[in-house]
Amino acid sequence: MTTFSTLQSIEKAWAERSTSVAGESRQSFERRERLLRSAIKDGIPTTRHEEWKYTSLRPLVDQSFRLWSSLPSPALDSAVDALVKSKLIPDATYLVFIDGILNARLSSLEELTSLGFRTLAEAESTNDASWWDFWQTSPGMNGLFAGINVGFVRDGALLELKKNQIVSRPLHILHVVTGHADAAASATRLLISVPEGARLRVFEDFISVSESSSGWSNGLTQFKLGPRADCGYYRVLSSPGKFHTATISAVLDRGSRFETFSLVAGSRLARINIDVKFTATDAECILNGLYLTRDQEHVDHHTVVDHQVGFCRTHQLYKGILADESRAVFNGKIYIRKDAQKTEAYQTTKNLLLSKNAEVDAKPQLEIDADDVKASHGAAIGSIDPLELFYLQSRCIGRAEAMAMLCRGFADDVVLRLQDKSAKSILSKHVSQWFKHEVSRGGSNT
Amino acid sequence: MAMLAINDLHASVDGKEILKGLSLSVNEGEVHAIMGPNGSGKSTLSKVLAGHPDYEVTSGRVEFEVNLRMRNVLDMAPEERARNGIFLAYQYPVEIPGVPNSAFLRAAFNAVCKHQGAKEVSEEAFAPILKEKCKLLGMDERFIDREVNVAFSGGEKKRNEILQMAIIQPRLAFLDETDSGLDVDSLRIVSEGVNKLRRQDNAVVLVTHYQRILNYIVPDYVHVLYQGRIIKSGKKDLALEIEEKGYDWLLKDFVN
Repeated sequence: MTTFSTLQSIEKAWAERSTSVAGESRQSFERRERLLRSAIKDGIPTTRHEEWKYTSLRPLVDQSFRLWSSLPSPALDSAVDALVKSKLIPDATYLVFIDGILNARLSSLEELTSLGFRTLAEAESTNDASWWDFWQTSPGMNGLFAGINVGFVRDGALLELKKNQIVSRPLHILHVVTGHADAAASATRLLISVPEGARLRVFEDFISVSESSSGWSNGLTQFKLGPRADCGYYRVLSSPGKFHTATISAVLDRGSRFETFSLVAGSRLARINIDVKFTATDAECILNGLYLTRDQEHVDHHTVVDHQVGFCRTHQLYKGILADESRAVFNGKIYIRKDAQKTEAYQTTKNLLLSKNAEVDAKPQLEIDADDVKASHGAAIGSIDPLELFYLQSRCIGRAEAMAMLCRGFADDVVLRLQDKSAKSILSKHVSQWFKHEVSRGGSNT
Repeated sequence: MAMLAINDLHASVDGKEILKGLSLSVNEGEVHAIMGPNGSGKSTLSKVLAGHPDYEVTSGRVEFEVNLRMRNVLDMAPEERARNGIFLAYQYPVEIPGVPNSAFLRAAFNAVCKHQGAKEVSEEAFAPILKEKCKLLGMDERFIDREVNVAFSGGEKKRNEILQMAIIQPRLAFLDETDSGLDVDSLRIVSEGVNKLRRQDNAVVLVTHYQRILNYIVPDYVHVLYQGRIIKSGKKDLALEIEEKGYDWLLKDFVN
């Protein structure tokens, strides 16, 4: 079996891929193999592994997803077509992947040209080893799912903006998992370079067609920010019943600004790793997120911010609302290295449990080796504040409606912090949808 | 018929009895002031009336006139009390991050509409209503876009309470130390707001430490609360006497 289940099966999938891909350069093959082998050298981690303590990969392993398929890109049925069209953000530049394969018709290829677009295959065949070194070694690339992605990814994109290029239309990257039985795990690799003085906003959505079938998306999205670059990255995972793993990596040069938001509103099991590294002074990273979970969903965010140099700022707020028997994990590391004086780093996670059976494992971690920094971290897990509830009730608002308002307010508190107006309104709509469903199924138990 | 009738009310918090047989009767159109030293039970009375979850009524009756019938308030959920016309202006208004003031006020307004069998209003239809109330109270409209009480100054929080009162239009307003922490200008603005909302058929109970607010909102009756009971009632002159002589002369008589 060429599946993600055992080390042997991964090896087998790799061998199968090696024989079925034609015309690949030796360098490209070796680049892929090197990362894959290093990622799987210790096997598939269990919960005994520190980084996987609260998230078991067993449900994903049990599904025995195919890692490799040489099938042509899936034919689009009208349902997928309609779904994609309903999800596209208005007035954006589109990049649409169906089961990991770029769909040219639904993407805006002409406009993409102005963003320095090339397919992953083009990038692999044209760029040299030293150019690739950056992308292969950026932070987080040593992770298991980054390696699996790099090894087996069939399609992806490189976007290389020009110096001082200000892009006003957002880039909307949409990934669809169709759940077709013969589809392999859907992997996409995106390399996004926002050089000196350039500006770009990226929306990346992971959606799925039906809730009943299974599916796995394994994303890899890498950013390189030049001096004074300004990049917003807003990702939304709404794939109820599906598996999702992701690696997000960003390297920040002098005076650059990276605003990210990770919204999870539907996923059977999600593990999202975000790694940010400051390589020069005066840069800023805003790292926010919101997970809304119900049923037996499991959402795990692992973030690492590495302050290697001084005079940079990190603001991180992750919030979660958990209903039913769902679980969430937040593990946030911030390293402030010895030379990173005058760093400012603030990290907070707040979680609202709507059910006795929901569980959050929050682990904020701040490691400071410099002596002149401002830093704080905190974690809160609780239920609805009875005083807030009473306040609303004493203003005529019924208990159920008051609960819904407070939950929504708890979520909006982080969404409203977004600096980008369109991001605020787009993410707000996703949150509304989740709450609408929550209300229609009769709300959550307390 | 009285609008509010409290009879021999006993209430406790954390197992400690605070109200020890309080009785009070309020009629339509009246303004009452409840004064008393710290710890006498003033705030407890307000909270018990509104149905605060931390306070337990151990005995006594609280009745409120609804459609010409006296109804047992203690059986009602907090929102039912509010919908039937009992309003508490908080001493310490609660901050609710993430909830816009406008959405909060509209939810309150619509809850009242629904209760009274009227149609609920849309966001668009509510905006001019809110605008008019802000104008009536001399309040900055920027208030309504902010999150409920978040990063409000003390004076702003108190004014927001009165704005809520203007939206809900209660029949009985309990103002719990609305004057505390207000400077002279804020006190005047808040008091004028309350006065503008007064009608023949509603009543106001001011719970206060000081006589100061009574210069603006003139009471018909003044009660002194001490050790969980009303130990003296009088007309507005009583407040002036307390201002002049303090509470000691009253308490001395009471203690023995």
